[in-house]
Amino acid sequence: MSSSPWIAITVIENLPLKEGRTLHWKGLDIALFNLGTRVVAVENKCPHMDGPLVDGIVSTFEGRITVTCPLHTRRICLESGQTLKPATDGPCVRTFPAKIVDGLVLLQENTTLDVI
Amino acid sequence: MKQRLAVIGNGMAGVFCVEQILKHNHNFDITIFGDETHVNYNRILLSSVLAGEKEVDDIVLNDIDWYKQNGIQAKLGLRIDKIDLANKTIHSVQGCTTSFDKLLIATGSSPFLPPIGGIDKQGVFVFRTLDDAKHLLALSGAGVKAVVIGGGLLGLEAARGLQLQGCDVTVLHLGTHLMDRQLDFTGGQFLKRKLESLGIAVRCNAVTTAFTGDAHVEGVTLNDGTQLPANLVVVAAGIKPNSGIAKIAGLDVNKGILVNEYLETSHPDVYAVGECTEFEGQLFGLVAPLFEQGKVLAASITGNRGPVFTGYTPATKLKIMGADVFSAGDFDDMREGVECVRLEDPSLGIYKKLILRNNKLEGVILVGDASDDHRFMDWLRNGTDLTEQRRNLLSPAASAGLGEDAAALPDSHTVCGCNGVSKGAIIEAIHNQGLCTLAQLKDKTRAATGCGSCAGLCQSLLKAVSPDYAEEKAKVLCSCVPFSQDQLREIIRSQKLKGVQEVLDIYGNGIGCEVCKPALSYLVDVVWLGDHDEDRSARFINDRVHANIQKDGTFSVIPRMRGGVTTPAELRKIADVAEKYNVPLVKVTGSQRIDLLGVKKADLPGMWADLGMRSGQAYTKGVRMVKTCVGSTFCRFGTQDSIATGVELERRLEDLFTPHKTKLAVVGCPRNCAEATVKDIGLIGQEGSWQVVVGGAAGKGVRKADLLITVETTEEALDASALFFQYYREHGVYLERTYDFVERLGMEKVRRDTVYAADDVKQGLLDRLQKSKDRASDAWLERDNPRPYQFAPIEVPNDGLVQIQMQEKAHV
Repeated sequence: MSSSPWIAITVIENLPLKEGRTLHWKGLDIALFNLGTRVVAVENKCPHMDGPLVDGIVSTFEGRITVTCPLHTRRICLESGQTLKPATDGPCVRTFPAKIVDGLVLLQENTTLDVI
Repeated sequence: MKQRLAVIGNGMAGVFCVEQILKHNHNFDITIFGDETHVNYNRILLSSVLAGEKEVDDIVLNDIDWYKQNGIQAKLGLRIDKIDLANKTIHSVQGCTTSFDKLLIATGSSPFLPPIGGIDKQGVFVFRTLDDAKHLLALSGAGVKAVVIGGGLLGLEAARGLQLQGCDVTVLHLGTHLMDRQLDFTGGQFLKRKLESLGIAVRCNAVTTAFTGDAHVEGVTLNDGTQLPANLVVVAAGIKPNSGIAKIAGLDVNKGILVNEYLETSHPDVYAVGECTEFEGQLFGLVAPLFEQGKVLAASITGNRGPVFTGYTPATKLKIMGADVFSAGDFDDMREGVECVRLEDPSLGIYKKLILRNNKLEGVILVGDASDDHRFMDWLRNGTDLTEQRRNLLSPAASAGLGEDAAALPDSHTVCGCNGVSKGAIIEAIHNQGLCTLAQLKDKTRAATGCGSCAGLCQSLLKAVSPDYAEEKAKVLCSCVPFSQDQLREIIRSQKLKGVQEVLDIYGNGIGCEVCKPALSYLVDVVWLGDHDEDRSARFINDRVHANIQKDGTFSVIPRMRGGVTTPAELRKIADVAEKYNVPLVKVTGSQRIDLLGVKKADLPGMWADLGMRSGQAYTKGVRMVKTCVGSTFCRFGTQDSIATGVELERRLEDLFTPHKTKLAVVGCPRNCAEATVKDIGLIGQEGSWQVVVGGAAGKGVRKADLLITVETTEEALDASALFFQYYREHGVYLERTYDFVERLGMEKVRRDTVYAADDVKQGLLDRLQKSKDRASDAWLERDNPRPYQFAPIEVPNDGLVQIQMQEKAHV
């Protein structure tokens, strides 16, 4: 399986620390978070009621980094996309591999979940 | 005839001893000699003075009236340099001679000065006396490079104090880890990390070889050749007993003045107490054993020889908020036959270690959380068998058990080590003075007013003993930062923290969550009157984009319309904007304003610009609006000008944050058309006066507001509102509405602390409100200076940013 190419989307200065920024790319609505040492990217849609995760507060739950949905305070794991609080077996949000190289934020389409 | 008792030393040990002697049936004329010019003060709180947490007056233990009332002669600024045992006289440097029948030596200790070249330069200090603290305070400040030699208790407290004064501080420590006499290596590492997160640089294994500079110190040289710049140096490399004059006089002295279990020296009429003494090879550098000694000595010297001093279990407490350390007993876990129970929580920076032998505690180390220290200390002192508790040794005593825990302590147990207050004294005060809150207890006994670490135990004693015990609300804010909001306000203020992340890094788990971050955002704002480091990532989305998020992720826009007054031109603009941006719903709100609902985030700045109106703050925990009735402007029944007054009230308070939303109303007559009696703050006009009411509610519950005050003029009514408003800002718990606030505090207290407070208190509230107001501005002006992608999304073509992509390829 060949992995998708890394795509440059912005410079890291455009992502303030721990404050979400929205990315429109390939018709997708993505929430980007600069966590200081790395960037994470998840689909901008809470599995619960479609809340905009990009507007959430970065939080933590049992040692994992989460974002709290602004609508009903669901805590979504920024690594796995799972809803951790309240614990649920429901759907995960889609996550995208992201990295910072020389001050540029690079994103990769997640091949395993690619539905396009 | 009365006997003459001379006391050399006017410090904590000597004066405590005299206090104890006064409790006995004594027959002494007492004279105390002190080489400092100050009355007896609490030396262990000097670091709090240096840190700016306490004023000099706050740490005075015995003021001059105490000496007078007890018929004690105080000879201050006199240094005794000779004791003549044959003639029973003492002599001062200044040349005066005093005869005695009994002599008490309480000369304390001096800082140990290591033989380092240049140690006599200007700018090199020790930290022992109030004058030392004053000198350090005078020289410290922003940009000053301070080096502290010695990473022990005193050195670290001095370092924190200097840092809080704005200095860049480096601690140089000879040993492999900090507080190496009280902590193992791991504990030292935990402490080092805590201090580094506070912004103090720490170097261990650092051997200082010289202080450089001309007359004044300019730098420090280490043995590995490192040069550190330094304008200020504090040497805290240990202490040595002041036993020199006793030795010259011919008393038996080893390192300290040798005393027996009755605190008698080798001369029958001479006693010694405190850090100048040595008992069975033990030397003393902490306050708790001095209190024990003082009680024994007082009995011995007044002819009640009976109680004996049996030495003490060494116990140390570091008083740096957030970097608490407690250590007692022998913590060496390599010894034969001992077991070690440990807890390490790196994210909260908590380290606990217990050393047990045969189910009894032999040693304990606590770093990062020393709130449970008294429990361990009791186990250690009493040799408690811990078989029953083995499963939860490290978990704090359950709150129900706390009372019993406290009940089990002997009356003589020193609860407050800083001020030497025993359990017995606290219980007596609770009974005799009818105390029922911690605040009262602090006020009457001074317990828990030092480092505050015994507050929990005091609380338990109150609970167990006081029939009218009133629990103070001390719910912790959140598990991310487990302190009450009162504690957090105090931490933010005293530790000079201006940003949410700083608080979380030092006192919490470094990350926070949607519960604590908005609360901390509020607290730093209100403590620093708006002069804080604003961190939008810690704010709820509403306060990042100044609009109220709706169920579909769109926002609502409500412009300010002071007093509910508008104009045709304004209405026209609103209509134009609603059409231009295809606003799906326009609605008149319950608070006399107009709401534009269903707005896209990206459209917000454009709409604000087109409206040209101020933010109505309808999205935040802040000042919402002042609703008004028509009043005397048009109404046939109006007695006061409610519109003008309401507009002015809104103008004075708008743009500020409050613990929860604040809704106000002004009505021109008691018919109350704008419902002032169910608002957080309401003004009710009547013929010739205004009623100012507070704490009303018309939400989930309905509560009629309480009368704050009735005043004659509009200006007085506005001032009364402002006083209550700022008081609520300063004392309300985040997310506490005024109706809960006034019930929690009681209207009597609210009135006493606001409208009936002393003039300077009232002026203080108004000044702080004004300062916050001066720094506040209309949030919607941010449209002119948005931060990157604050409102609009980042739009990227399918194949990414072409230019950037090429740069990227160059790196592959």
